[in-house]
Amino acid sequence: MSDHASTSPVSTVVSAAGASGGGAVIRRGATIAVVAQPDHPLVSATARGLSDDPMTEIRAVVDRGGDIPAFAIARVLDEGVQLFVRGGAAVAVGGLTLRHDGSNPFVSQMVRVPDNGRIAVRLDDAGPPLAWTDLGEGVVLGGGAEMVLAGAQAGLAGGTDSTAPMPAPRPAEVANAAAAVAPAPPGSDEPKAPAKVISFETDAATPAAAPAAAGASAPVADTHDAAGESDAVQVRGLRCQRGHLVHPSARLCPLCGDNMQNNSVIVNADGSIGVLGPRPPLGVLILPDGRSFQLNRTTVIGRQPDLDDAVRNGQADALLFDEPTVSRAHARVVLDDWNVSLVDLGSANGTAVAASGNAPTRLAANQPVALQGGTYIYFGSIQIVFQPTSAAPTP
Amino acid sequence: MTYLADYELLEWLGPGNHGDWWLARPPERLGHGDERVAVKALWRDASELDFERMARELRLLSMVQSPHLVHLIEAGESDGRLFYVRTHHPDGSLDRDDLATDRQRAALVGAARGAQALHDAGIAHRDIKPENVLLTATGAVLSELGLAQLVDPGMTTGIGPVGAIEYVAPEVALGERGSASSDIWALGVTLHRVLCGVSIYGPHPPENVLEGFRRVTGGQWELSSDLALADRELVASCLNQNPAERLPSASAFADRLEGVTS
Repeated sequence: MSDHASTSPVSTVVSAAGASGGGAVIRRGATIAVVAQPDHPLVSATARGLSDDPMTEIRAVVDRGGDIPAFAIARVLDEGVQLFVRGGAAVAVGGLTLRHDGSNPFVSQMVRVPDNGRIAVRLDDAGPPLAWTDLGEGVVLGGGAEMVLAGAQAGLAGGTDSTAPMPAPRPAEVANAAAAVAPAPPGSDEPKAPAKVISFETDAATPAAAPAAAGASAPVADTHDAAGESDAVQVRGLRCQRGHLVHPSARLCPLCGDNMQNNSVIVNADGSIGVLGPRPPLGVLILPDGRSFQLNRTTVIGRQPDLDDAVRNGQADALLFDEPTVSRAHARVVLDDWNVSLVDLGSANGTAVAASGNAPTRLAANQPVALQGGTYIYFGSIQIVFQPTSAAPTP
Repeated sequence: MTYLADYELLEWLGPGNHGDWWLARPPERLGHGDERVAVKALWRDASELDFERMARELRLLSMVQSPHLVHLIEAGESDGRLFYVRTHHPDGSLDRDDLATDRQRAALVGAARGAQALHDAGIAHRDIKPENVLLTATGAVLSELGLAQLVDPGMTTGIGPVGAIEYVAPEVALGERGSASSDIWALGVTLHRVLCGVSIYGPHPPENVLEGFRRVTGGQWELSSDLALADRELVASCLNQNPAERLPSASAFADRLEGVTS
């Protein structure tokens, strides 16, 4: 649990910006941070020194419940500067700014060490800097701070006035960007012909191209509906007024809101309830970037899920996360009748589940657990959410 | 100077979905003279997104002829880095708050006409939002054609929102593929965003994906009180939870908006 992974020495923290923003400014080694709520556990966690897996640590701290304050954290490592931002705060690295777009609890990004060596964190409602103080180590009340890395002293000489580059409040051009730090340009110093290139301009000029476009729906069309309803799993349920197949004990149709208590219940001769029909998607997994993965059948989650036999035989869907912390076949979401459960497949880093706001619980390998609506699922550095649509109602 | 292939990169224009946009000076072989172009360098490398597939799909998209769709110039690969090139639009996108209302409306009419051209060819855009509506002198063109489906192949069944959940139709959040109807939802949300400056989910949009999911699928949107009656009716007609009951076409959206303008 140390935070001196970097060999890039910090020459000084120029400012603890004793500003009107009522937050806490923290410096620990090569990390500076500002947190809008001075008594939040994130302040002490940062002051103690973040672990080698700060993403998980910050997530664990903010998941502990309560309102999450705005924060901005910058941590200098050998390979670059690691940034974390949430809410009304910003980090500026070499004059570029990272902000949070609100789609996740916070954003994180690794950027290269800036040429001018300047890294600043700031709360949006912080006033102008009142004093420039070398913070040293520790925690003070304030709205922002700037760190200047060794080797960038030339840029600093005569630059310690209060107009030094704190991140500007809400620059219009980045306000909606998830990650608005300019990247290192791709490519090289020399022009070279592209290895492969295809021009669209000559094609577009060909009149014959227009009818061909009508066929363009094929390559972009849904490749999954083709599997279709014919081989869909059959389940027994009740039909709502609009014909949706619904779990026998659901009160409302989850798709159209029809009140099922107004509909007649079909009891079959053998005592079973309802009619057989193709199973609707039971729910979705909401991915870290906000996309939804529809659960139509059992799904293998992993770094190389298509190595799993069931996926290879076409009996299961695959959800791929190309992350080193995720095992090749990490976990399986099992759809059985109307029920959805989760199994860890003996993954290296484990799988955990948590109801919203609760502490996560690790799963024992190969022991299925039923998934409740709104459950957060953690594997490696990934966090997703299960949201049922037509699954069995949970008590 | 930095080059991507034989394009001289002049200035970072900003991030887009799946890659960064750069202002670039095109190589002489294109015969564009000194005219600037915009180059998108994709974050994924060629091993994960095969060049031929990208080129094939972008070519199909480039064949849809419309003055309201962005002009694609070429796609290429250099040192394992995929990129594609389009006309540069110096006025930027609809994602700015200093535009006169007439210009915002004209831009959205253009975007809707561009969407209709795609729909006529059987293609859904799936990522209509202010950033992807590029301003021209008289209106706008729709940009980022087909990138949503191009960069995310069939691994995920429900290709839902690529970026902000604000523009996502409820059925897409539930895992359905984007469609012409979900594009019409996004046109309505875009109109609301540019005219009022706020999301249909209010000044405090959802802070995490679960809350966002619930608000999108639960239809928990609310139109801003700043929206005049005709605009209000138009936006509302795009926001039906049932795709079949939304405004029937993007061109109907454009027609209604032009009616409002005059």
